[in-house]
Amino acid sequence: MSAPHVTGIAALIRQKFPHFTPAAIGSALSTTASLSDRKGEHIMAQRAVLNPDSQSPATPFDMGSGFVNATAALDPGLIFDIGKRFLEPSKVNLLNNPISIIRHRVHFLEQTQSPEAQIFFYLGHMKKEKPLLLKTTF
Amino acid sequence: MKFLCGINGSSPVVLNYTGESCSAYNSSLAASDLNLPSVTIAKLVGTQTVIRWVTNIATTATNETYTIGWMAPDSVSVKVSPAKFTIRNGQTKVLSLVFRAIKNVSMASFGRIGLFGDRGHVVNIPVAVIYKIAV
Repeated sequence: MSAPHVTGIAALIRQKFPHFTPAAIGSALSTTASLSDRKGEHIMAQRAVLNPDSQSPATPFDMGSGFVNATAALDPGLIFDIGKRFLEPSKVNLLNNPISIIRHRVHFLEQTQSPEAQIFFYLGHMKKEKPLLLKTTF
Repeated sequence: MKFLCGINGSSPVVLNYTGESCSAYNSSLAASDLNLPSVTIAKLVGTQTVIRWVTNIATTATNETYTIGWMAPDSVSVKVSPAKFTIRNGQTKVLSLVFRAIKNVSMASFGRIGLFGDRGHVVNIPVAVIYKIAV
């Protein structure tokens, strides 16, 4: 259920920073993510599928950059941007842009799912309307 | 595009989906050089330098000074330069991250690099190094 939450926060970032490239939005979400849980302790990851108590500190392969933090993501300070070549600040419009590279990071946090970090690269060519989904699993 | 074209065998796929030919790109970008807010090195042999560049997105005319700290992954030494820099609104700064394998270890180890700004911004990136081969 993290994907819809992250998508919504990405939309808020886009609203505040309309000139951000998809990479910049992803950077804002990642660099401001939190590494501690509600108790203030390090995020834990379940290790055995059938045993919810088998938890150990989560690694980036479990949790990516951590728990998304909406407030912090709207004030990232610095961004790691990719390729200014085809996305100029004044002309960014995800619907009309021929090439959009959108990175989604999905965190599997529910205890019934295996803790795996997956990064999806979505390359869409808007003119041909043929999306290509390249999935990389770490 | 340099990154996509650098993947072995990707040229026809890239042409099909973007309409651009890879022959226009005569240099390729390795996976660890893609300017992502994270560093993953699958195989670290000796020393490897990774480049990252950051942009200050402040809209008002401000300067922010960032101090960089890091937690090195197990069996890896980390050095970031510059370790401290001042960056203006809209300005871009290039960071050089040098990783060196200290021991031969095949298990993945993880660390962090943090940029702490004097205006209260904290920028955190995870570091993952899998195979380490000391040279």
